Amino acid sequence: MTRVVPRRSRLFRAACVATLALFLVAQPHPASAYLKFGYEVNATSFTLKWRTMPVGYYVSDVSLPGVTQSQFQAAADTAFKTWASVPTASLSYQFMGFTRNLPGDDDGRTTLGFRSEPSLDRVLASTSYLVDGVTGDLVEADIFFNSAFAWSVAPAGERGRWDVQTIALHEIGHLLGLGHSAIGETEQLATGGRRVLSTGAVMFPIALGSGDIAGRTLQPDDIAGISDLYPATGFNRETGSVSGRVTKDGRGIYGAHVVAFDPRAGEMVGNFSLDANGQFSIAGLRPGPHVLRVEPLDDADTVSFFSAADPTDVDFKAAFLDLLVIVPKGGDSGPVELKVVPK
Amino acid sequence: MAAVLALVLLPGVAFAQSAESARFEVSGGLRWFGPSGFGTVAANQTVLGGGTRRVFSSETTLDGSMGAGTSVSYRVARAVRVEAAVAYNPTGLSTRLSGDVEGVANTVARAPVTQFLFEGGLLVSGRRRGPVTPFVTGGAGYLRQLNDGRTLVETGRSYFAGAGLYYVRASAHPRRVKAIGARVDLRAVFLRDGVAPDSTIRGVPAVTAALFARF
Repeated sequence: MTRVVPRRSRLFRAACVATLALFLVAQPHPASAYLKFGYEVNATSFTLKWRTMPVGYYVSDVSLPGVTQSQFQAAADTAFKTWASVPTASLSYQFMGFTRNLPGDDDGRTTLGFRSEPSLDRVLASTSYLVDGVTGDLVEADIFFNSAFAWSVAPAGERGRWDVQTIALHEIGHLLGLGHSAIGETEQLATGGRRVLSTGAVMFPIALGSGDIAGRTLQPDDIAGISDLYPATGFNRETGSVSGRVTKDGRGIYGAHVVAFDPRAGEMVGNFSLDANGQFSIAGLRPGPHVLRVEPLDDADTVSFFSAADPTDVDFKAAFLDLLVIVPKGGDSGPVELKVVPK
Repeated sequence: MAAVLALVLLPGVAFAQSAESARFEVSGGLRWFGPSGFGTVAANQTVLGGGTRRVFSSETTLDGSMGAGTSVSYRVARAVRVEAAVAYNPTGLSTRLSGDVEGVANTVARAPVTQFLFEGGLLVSGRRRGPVTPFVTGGAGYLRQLNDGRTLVETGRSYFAGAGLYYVRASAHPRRVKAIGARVDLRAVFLRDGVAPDSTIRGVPAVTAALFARF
């Protein structure tokens, strides 16, 4: 078994960076709701997901001031439960016990816990994976929480301390196979970092801030993503997708962020154009009319989503499509074209 | 003078009796539906502390439209008819998008909708005044709205109440057609479900103008 590290990308969370040791599935899926992780084993591509349930996890036997291992485990369990409670997704989990091993150890155990990484001064937490190099099966996925930061498990959050449950919910999304969502707005700081103005997904790569507990609640984008990855019976039949191209001057562009907005429910689900033709697809949508909005990926570093080598185009103006796209039940809208103009 | 007057009025009396005694009525004409607003829905995101921040706003309307309608009625009492009707209206959904935080220009996104209403109801005629007879009507119906490309069918219910006027003329072929004329009504139609975002009952005005024949 080998730990697959084809590319390393840095995932930013607030003033901190989360690292993730996998590459993104950059090929357009026929109908996908989310960026997903993937890998190649023996020239075969795999979408990163657990093929057997429940997902068993261990917790490192490490405590911090204010957070005992039992409190940490309870917060992590609640985060697992939040994902497992999505009615349109089918997944389960099981706490296997405490372990002396640390997350990142290649022990065949999915382990969550604290580890001190003071050199990673912008990394709050990180998820890494261990994949069987022969079968391609996902063997373990570990999440380390950087104990160089102050953490809290207070029910209402704690000013100046990062909420374990909130960060665990995001990282467990990665552990289950989800990539990042770009539904969020930020502003550039003079110091070079970014300040989050608002987020529309737990899987947005930058956390709102310490003390925040709003991130304990999944958003429609997260729900569509996890349901697409682990669909419950009837999910694909009861929901639909929208697909098409994003073009600039008649040519497809890569990495454009497309959001499908349901004007009846106010829900947003997003994805990206993922090839040179500008093809995108967004699945897991409630049937009915949707507004499409396209924007450049300028609210987070593009490497939070794609490889630095990918030709991500951010030189265009955000735009709405002047058509309402009708999402059919159990099908696709048919191709639409989102035309954008340079900034 | 009285004899002359009687000669003039007699055909009218006979025609009126004939028109009112006719069992069946068939009509066809135009129906205008007023617009129906579905309200404003914001695209909100979460801010630090749990509040929300509006990314943009949307306001969706089922557009007003002109369509066609046909009806068949059967007289069950002297002034009461049971009526079945079908109305077809090519309409559309319009969503006005505004207030985008990234300065995207206000946009109206549209999608065509084909609407069918299958209605049943009662029509009660009032006292005739010359060729004009007032009536009131009310009933319920089945709403069927087909989205763009008929990729999605939305169904719902309708209820209506209104009033109108018949303008009745004698038929040139009284043995086959007892009367012909025009009718116009204004009604309040209450729609539930369909392409609407929820099950709230929404009222829209509708005007029907049709030609009819009675048998």
